[in-house]
Amino acid sequence: MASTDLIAIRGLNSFYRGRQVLFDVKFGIPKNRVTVIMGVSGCGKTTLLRHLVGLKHTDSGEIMIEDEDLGGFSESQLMAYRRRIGVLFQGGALFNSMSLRENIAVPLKVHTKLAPETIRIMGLMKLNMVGLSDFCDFMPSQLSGGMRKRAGLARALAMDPEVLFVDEPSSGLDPITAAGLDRMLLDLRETLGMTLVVVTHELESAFKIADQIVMMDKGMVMAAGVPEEVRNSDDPRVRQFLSREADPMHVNMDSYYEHILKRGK
Amino acid sequence: MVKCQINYPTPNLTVMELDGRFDRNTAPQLRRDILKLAREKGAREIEINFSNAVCTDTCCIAVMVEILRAVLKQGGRLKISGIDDNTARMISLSQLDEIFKNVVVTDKK
Repeated sequence: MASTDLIAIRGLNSFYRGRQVLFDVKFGIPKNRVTVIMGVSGCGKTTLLRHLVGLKHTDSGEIMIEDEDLGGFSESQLMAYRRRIGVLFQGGALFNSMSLRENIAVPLKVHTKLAPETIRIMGLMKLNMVGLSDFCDFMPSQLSGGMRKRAGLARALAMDPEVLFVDEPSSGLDPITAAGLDRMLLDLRETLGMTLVVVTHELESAFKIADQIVMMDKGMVMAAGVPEEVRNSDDPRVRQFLSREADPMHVNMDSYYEHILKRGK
Repeated sequence: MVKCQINYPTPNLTVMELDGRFDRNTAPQLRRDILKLAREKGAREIEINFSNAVCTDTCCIAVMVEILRAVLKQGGRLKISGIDDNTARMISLSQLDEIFKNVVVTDKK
């Protein structure tokens, strides 16, 4: 673990329904920096994120949070860790039956003893940071996809997290809204001094916001380093990803003929 | 833990010197104490000095908004001194500079 690393992942292996999805993953997440985890769909990015936020138990390996293994955390330690982090899931993960203001108040009501009025003001401040204070009484269903994502970000920020984990911030957004969200993440990192971990497959966004890039393929880390190091990598899979070359399709023709010749029910 | 030392240099001025971390754990008690003082008759001008205190999160700004509102309601004045750059940046990011423009004095730490 480097002295500046807040989180260190060491030899992490993970399984899903008996199939191994992460293989000996190791890298460090430096404090107050933006780490971008990149790779094609299905490469294990989101699984890794679920491990990092304590939603998935480690099968083997370690996730060290300031020299303590997340896998060995007690229930109360895990709760304390979750109070220190914010997570923006792909869909925003808002409660549909609550207004934006009520959504943002949830973590503050659950985890703090702050007065309702303090919580109300904090909620408005967070909505303002993402440009949505005018929509505080709107329900999630009344918002566009980009606005829901920003509202999800406001809720992830509710507890002033030390570490903010963001899953695919640009997915489903137009380029202008996506660029605005990138700018916003950098502003928040700068002002609130947060450590950011962003999972994405958007090249432009990744190279714009990253201090460090971790590129994954088939559950393994292909390359890790500052953006220039990754951009200049000789690894053929890294080159393929950066130049957006499609994989040749592998189709089992025997199975295909068998299915097509079989009489349908 | 945050301590609050209260002084009355003149009959109309109350100075509160904070010492420690002003965060979501210490905010509820501090909020109660300061709001009580702000609502007391006679406390016309209140100065809160943050020179020995650290605001670690945005609840500190939210509580300052509540205090400002209470002081203004009494027809008094609020002065906030000794805030650090990070707190000033949080005020700016929340776009509350206008609200605090005549309140926060610039002798930052």
